[in-house]
Amino acid sequence: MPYTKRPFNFTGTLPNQILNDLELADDNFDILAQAFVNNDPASEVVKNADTVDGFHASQTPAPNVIVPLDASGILDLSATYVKSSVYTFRRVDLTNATSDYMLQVGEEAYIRFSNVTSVPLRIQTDVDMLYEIILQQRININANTVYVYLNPNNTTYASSFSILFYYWNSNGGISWAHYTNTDNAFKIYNQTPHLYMILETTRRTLKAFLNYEAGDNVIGFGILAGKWHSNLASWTSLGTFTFPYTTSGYILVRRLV
Amino acid sequence: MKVWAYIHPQLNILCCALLPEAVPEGVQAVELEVVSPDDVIYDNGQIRVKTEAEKLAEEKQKKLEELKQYVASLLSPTDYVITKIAEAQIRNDTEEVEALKQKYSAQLQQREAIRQWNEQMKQAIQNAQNLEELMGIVIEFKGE
Repeated sequence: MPYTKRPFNFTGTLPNQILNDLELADDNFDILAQAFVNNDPASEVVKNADTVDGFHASQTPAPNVIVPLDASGILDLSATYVKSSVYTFRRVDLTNATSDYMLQVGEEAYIRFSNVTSVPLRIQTDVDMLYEIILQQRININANTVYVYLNPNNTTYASSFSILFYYWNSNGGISWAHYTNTDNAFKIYNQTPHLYMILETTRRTLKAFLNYEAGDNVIGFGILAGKWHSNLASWTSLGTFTFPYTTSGYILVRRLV
Repeated sequence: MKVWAYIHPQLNILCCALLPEAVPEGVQAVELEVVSPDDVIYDNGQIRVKTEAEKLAEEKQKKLEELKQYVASLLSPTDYVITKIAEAQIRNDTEEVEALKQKYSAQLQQREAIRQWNEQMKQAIQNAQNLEELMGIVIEFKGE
């Protein structure tokens, strides 16, 4: 039963023309009614009106589902708005933050730094939290026997940290780079490290792998583990990176738990 | 850089805050200008900055430890040669000892070169007159 656009063509001369035209009109009304729920225009609900181009909308993300913007026009993926079970991150720029921000699970802090020797992360923390941290520097200098540190609570604590690192380099060198049980902060590495780190605040341990440069064409690979072995001071601020030289780059901090 | 050094009231250890707001409330801190927080020391009940001589002595110890670890990593791949020769010596097999020395003469020469270089490096570290000179010493064996 095809839809007939403008079905009436009355000339007053053809036999049964009124009957034929009324039948075409009925057919068209039937077709139009089928566009509504229960084939009833009185329902005032058009079939499939909850999809756009065939996609449903929902605040619970899923494949082929449209997530609506919030009342402010922002794609809000925080836990209080979209109930996300999808592994995704919302970026928060903390480059110029002046107070600590409580990073939520699924949020990623972005901190860019330029020509500095220390970078406060400005991230509030507590026990039972797990972070991924990526540090990328834009320089390559020889920084032998001086180290990058992560200082929890933006402070040093005398003889409260254990650390070890081991390296391989493109000169064929393989060795311990450093080990100690009596450091004053999380010692990260010497030379110019670019690293990927997992940091957790309950056992207060970190693990990382990294590549480092040493002011020339040599590339090194390092692994490290660290532990803040005193738990008498609460860990409330994720900390500050300190560098033994002036540096630039960026840090990403993702909260996983 | 500026640090705010204080004695932690619960831990009774020296702490150096990198931000003034990181000093716990009600705790008296000393504001210091330092190259690194490691430059601050708690000595005879007093918080102070290490002297240049103290810093130099500390850095020399670190450098010597680094050298020791590095030399160990250079020697360990040929330790098996020494083990074989030592075993032959224990058996009083002088012929085998000589044969092994001959067979592994290249490795033995390399080990000797590493040890000589190690002694030179130790001397250079111990003779460094200031931190700049000490930091300029690169621990890297380039001999074949």
